[in-house]
Amino acid sequence: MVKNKVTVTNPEGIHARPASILVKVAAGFKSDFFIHSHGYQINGKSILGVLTLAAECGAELELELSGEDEVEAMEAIMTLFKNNFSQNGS
Amino acid sequence: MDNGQPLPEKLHDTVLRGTASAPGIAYGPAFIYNPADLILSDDVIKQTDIREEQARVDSAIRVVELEIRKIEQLSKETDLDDLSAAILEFQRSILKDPDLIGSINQNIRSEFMPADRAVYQAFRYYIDRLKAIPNAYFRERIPDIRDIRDRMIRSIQRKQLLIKIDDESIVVCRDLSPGDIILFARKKVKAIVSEQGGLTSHASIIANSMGIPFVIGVDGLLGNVEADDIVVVHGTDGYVVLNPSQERISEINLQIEAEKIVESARQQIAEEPAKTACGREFIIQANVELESELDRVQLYRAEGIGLLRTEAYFLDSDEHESSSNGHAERDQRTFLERAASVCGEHNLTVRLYDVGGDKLPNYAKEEANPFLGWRGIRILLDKPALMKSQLELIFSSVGTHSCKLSVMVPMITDANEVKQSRKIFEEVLADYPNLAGKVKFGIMIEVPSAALLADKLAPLVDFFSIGTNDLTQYTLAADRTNRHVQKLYNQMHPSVWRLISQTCDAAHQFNIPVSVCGELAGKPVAAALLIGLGVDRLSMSASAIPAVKEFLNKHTFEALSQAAFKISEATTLEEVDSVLSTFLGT
Repeated sequence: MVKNKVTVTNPEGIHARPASILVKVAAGFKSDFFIHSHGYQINGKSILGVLTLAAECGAELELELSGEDEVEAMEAIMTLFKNNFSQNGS
Repeated sequence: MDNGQPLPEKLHDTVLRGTASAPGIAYGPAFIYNPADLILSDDVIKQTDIREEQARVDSAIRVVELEIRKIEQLSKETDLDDLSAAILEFQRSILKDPDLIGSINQNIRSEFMPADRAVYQAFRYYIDRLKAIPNAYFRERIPDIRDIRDRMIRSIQRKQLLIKIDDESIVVCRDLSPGDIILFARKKVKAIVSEQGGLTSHASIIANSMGIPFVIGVDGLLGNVEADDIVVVHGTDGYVVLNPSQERISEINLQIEAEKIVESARQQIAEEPAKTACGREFIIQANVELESELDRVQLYRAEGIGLLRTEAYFLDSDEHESSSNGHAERDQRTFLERAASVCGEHNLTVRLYDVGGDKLPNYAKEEANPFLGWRGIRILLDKPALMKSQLELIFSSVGTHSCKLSVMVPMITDANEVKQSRKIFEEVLADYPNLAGKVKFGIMIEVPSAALLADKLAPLVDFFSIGTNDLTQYTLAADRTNRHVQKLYNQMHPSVWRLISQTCDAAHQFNIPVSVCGELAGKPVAAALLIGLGVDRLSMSASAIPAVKEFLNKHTFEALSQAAFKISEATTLEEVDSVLSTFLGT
């Protein structure tokens, strides 16, 4: 299992489009993906779950991945956060 | 056409202004459609019904996904703004949400809820959570989420609803989803009017393409109409009349007559043989994806169907969930049979499933680059049982009809794929002795490698069909849904035209026909120039046929060829534009 803390830096937060991109990327990996925020935990592959995080710009989240491709998955997801969910960031 | 002028009210008339959303005029008894009052089944299901209820949910997901895809496709032909594109993508992801789907199935399996209530309750959890969020920005997505929920529920309940709507009805509603319009088009309602106007732009695109008069944003509508009241909907000028007077009705009848003349002129053009000013003939066919589009094939005198999409009925033969497959197979069979019958003696070209790996149940891993990934023929060859079962379904459904049947395979890149798929095709065909030698086998030319190898592939097949949408994106390496590169994506790019021209030359060298079934074929100028480039057949949305024919009738083949040649010789898109304006100026 790998864990990492991230801060949401894109101005609109994890809104509809960033959330769609996040779950799409996460679905590309076999690992289970959870996001923790203030004691609340959601499945990072569930778009509705991700939206209920209501993660605004500045929100701090903890990402948790576990599975055979957890390291690659974490890297891909961290890159998304770093690039503010720009689809062309990769 | 809202000019703010009050319309004269006749005796006992009530005129309500709205906004014109799809042209046409009609009147008839009101059918009040209020999707806000979804009535959920409150019974408890039996253990033995669990499978059936889960299959209804699967089928609803498939239908709603198809609707979204259809909207995306129609919107591309108009010009989708960024926000709508993001919302459609968001809604599509909801349909794939593993937690949501898990919770729906859980509700059915453990709580014995019927499908519609299971869906409602699963969504409720998320909607309640979102409602509690202080940031309005996140709450704004609630209507889009409810929309998907209601469309799934309505799709589950659809059969009951269909019984209630009369063919002659005017649908009166508060708001409408695009899926509703597809449903109403199937029932051939005469017109639609809605009280709200905001979120209906997709519905409007569909109403236009289906030819249903549609007025939106009519304040006070529902408060003033009772079921079966006579309502006039003026979709061209954007108003409705409630309880019209005799005088009004006669006036409207005259206007309807006038519109009929315009429409019949369009249909008359459609009746004319498809030929250029100098008399060169060619074939115009229709693209069909939804059952409701089949009626328009004959209306606009399409000479058969050049592209019948079957993805909506995709069923994986590895999946032995017999109840859900049984439904999908029956649906596909009905669709194929109806398509065959509207084609009459003409040609019906069925494209085999063109799906990506995400459609397969045991292939959960989403690809980083699906357009360059496992899709189309690549999947069909890896899963020959899937390809065989679809071919069997096609041969057995269409075989007894009098249309000429063609089958084509998507995403071909080289001769090896052609040989392998043709072998499977011949093997299955051998079981249908009545079809021996009668079914044509063709390939889609939509990957540049196939266009470049066209002279090697032509001897192996009976026809080529060029898919310009994919050919353009692969040639120019530009995804048109990405706004940063949208400008690069242009189906009239000289490089794309060279590939098309090369494909036509190769085909004619081996005496096989070439058709184009991309969007390009439905735009009059581009379509005409494709004929000039050597394309034999065009396949397009049926409603585009009159305009394309009219344009072709006015130009000689020679003029078209010259302009087409100049386009393939251009070096920039600006030069293409200047060739076009010179051509149109003459």
